[in-house]
Amino acid sequence: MQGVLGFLDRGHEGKKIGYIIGKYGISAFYCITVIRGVSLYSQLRRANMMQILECCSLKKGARILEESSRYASRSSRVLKKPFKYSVVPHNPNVAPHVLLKKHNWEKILPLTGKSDKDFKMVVRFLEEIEILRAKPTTKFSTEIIQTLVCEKDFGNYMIVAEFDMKKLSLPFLKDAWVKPKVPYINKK
Amino acid sequence: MDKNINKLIDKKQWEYLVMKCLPVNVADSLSFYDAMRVVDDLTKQSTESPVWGTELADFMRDFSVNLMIILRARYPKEWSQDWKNEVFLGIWCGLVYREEEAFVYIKNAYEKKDDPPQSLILAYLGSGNTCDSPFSKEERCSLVDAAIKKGITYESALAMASIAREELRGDEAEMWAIKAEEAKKNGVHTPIIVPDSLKEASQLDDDYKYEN
Repeated sequence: MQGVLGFLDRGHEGKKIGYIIGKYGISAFYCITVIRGVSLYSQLRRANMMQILECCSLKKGARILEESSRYASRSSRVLKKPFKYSVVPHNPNVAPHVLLKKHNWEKILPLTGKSDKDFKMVVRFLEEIEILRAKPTTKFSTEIIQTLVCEKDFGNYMIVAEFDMKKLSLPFLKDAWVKPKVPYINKK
Repeated sequence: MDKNINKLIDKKQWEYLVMKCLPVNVADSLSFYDAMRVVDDLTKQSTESPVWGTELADFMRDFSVNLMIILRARYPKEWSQDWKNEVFLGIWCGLVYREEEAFVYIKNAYEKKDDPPQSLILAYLGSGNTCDSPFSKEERCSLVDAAIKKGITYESALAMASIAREELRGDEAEMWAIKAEEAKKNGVHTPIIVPDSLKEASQLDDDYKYEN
């Protein structure tokens, strides 16, 4: 399957991926993804299952393949995103929270006042500093979800980002802010 | 309304429930324990596809939080029988951007306990980890110290590593990070706070335990 997909251009590849998922389910890709790592499998699940199943649930069963092909070309673009340290917001509510005035992004980024543009800028910045490489601490643990906090030095500031994470899933951005560093005074 | 709510709950139509009803309607129709089960179902549903990744996830959590606040006011006896109810409410407030409320509820629970367990200390610490943190650096250090005294777990060791990193004690931070990884490898985690009334319906991984 991997070989077959390798010969196809992007558009065709997207359609084929959608067709295979529609017909056999996401597990058809497991054999490919275990070679590249479990996170790829999770990405694939997240990117495709959400869109495809959501749309298929609205349609009659006979149209599943057609619908999945249609949506695959869109979702395959998500799959092309570099997997390592990419920052994916949990849902559309994240942007207004991240861009709150008290989160101080204007201290380090040239914000424009347009929330779409500014949020993209923040996400790009978090990816550039590879915030997900920072050792996380656990903010909250429930039986189904955890909130992890990653912090990175950035000059006189600390960049803090919170991620929601389900079991065996990728972390999704929940909130992020800039905080001034408090100088440490060694009392010893 | 009562019949409709029960129907929606029986059929597990959570999306309709949060769209069509108010938390107070659910509280009116169900007993304390049944309403807590709805909270449990809604919070779990908020992490399942296709809700996960949409605004509906936050909407369901917000609904759960509001329902718990009503139950807290309406059933003070049942609510206060288990200190974990207050912390559970605080944690879910924190998960839906209601940080100030999260801090108040978890602080309430923390202050009522003579000898707070590690899970509560770490939840209290977490609730104060916001952009306008109510804790001074000294308070945070003393909370992390108190947590680690209760035992080295993945979560407590990570908190120690974070404090050490912040205080530019690189070697110590690295040591705690290694200890955290060891604890994770051995499945040593801080217990999860879930109210007793919801433990039956819950499923935990083998490595995790419930707080008593």
